[in-house]
Amino acid sequence: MRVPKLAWSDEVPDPPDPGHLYELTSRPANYESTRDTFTTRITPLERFYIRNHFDIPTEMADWKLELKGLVAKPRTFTLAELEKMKQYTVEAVLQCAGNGRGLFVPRVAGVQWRWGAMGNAEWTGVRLKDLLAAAGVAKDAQHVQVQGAEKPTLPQTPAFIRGIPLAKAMHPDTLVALRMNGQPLSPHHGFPARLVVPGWVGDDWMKWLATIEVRADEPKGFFYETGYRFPQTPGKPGEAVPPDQMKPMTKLVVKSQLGSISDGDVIKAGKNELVGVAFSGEARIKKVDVTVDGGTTWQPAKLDSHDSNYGFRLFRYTWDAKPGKATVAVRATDSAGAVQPTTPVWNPSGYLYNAVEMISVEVRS
Amino acid sequence: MNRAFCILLVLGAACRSEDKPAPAPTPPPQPTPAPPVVTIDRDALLAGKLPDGAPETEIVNAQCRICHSVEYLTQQRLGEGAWKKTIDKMRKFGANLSDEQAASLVAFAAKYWNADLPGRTWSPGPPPAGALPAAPK
Repeated sequence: MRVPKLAWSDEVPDPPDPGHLYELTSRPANYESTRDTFTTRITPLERFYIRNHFDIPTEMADWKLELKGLVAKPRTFTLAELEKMKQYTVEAVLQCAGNGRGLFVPRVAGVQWRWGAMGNAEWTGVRLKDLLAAAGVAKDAQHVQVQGAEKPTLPQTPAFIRGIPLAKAMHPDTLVALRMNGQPLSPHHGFPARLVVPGWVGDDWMKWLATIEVRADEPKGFFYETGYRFPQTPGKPGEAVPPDQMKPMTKLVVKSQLGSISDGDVIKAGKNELVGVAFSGEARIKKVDVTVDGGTTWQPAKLDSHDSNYGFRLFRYTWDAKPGKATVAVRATDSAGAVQPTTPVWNPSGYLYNAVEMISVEVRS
Repeated sequence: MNRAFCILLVLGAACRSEDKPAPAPTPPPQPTPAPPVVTIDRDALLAGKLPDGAPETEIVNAQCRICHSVEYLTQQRLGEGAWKKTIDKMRKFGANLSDEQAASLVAFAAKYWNADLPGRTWSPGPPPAGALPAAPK
């Protein structure tokens, strides 16, 4: 793998089918996956959602990763140097903080993601802890601030800067990934390198990773100090939350979603296999329950034998559907005991939507 | 069934009579200029288009689109307060709007893209250029 010049200006060849992504905004590119994407454990690259704050960077031929701040030996890494280091693979769900924002009532501002701003991939790259060890982290270090090569269009717009606590940065599963599902990262997914913070919300998974700064204090900038924060004590829907009650998001929350049916579908009476995915942040999926009568009765779905710390857990349920109208829903419970709520947890930016979703279908004989 | 409908926006209708200066004793007769007529049909609105002919559409094209495409605006369904907050944030982020332009943009956005308008219509398509790994070179 080498750094191609302006690789992302290459035209995408005509797809073999109409495609599986909804264009929510064309610039910057924000695309969500169609619902039927969530019937496989690993999300194919051509279906994987895309989330950008700004235009993707195009001047990447001289890309280097800079590691600086509270370290004994500040240094840079070229892509070739990163590739020579020991590579690790972690399967993990990447989910946008705002996935499901478009489902909140009252409505909140932002990209109106519904169900498709999530995906599960096998991420391969170097451990962040190995890079930090190569530079020598100072004793008073507490945080790792990260920034990508992207730049806002206007100088007044704050740069996208994020950060994670040193303990999460030193976790053996936290990677600087070079590959996704075995392929080099695409430009929209952060080529040549992105941060992978398994179990944590996507805003920390910095793309086109250019700078890692080890610090004693918390990261700075709008997108850390104001953006991507969640109320410590959620208030009433529609109410503002004082800034001192907001803290940075960390872990994903337990969620499950059907992929094989959508609201409004007409299905055939008889045996239907319901398929979907479930995941949680730093816990595993313990069970997924299914209702086909609007929540009156619940039955356990069959969990796929493939289980992982941070990935999708595929589930299936065979439903012997009788003619008429039916309301179907799934509800996951994780190994820490967290259960999906009936109503979403209100927060002013519409983050971490994980309410049980009621899907109305019509069964015809 | 034809779901299309037409929205007419008569500019200046909100001007209150007490704000007007006292009329001159003998005003010369003048033809009344036709107010700008702004039209958009419902399907276009649901598909994320901006109304034609509105001065605010020109502001959106000149300012908002420096950084992002119009669907960023047209997929929102917000009340006036939330629109004001959003446009204030965009001004901090570099949108070059006078106070008057910002106020008129807030009213314009809240008029069309509020909670009464159903969610946007979407159709799936292929990934954008740059979404897949580059071919080996």
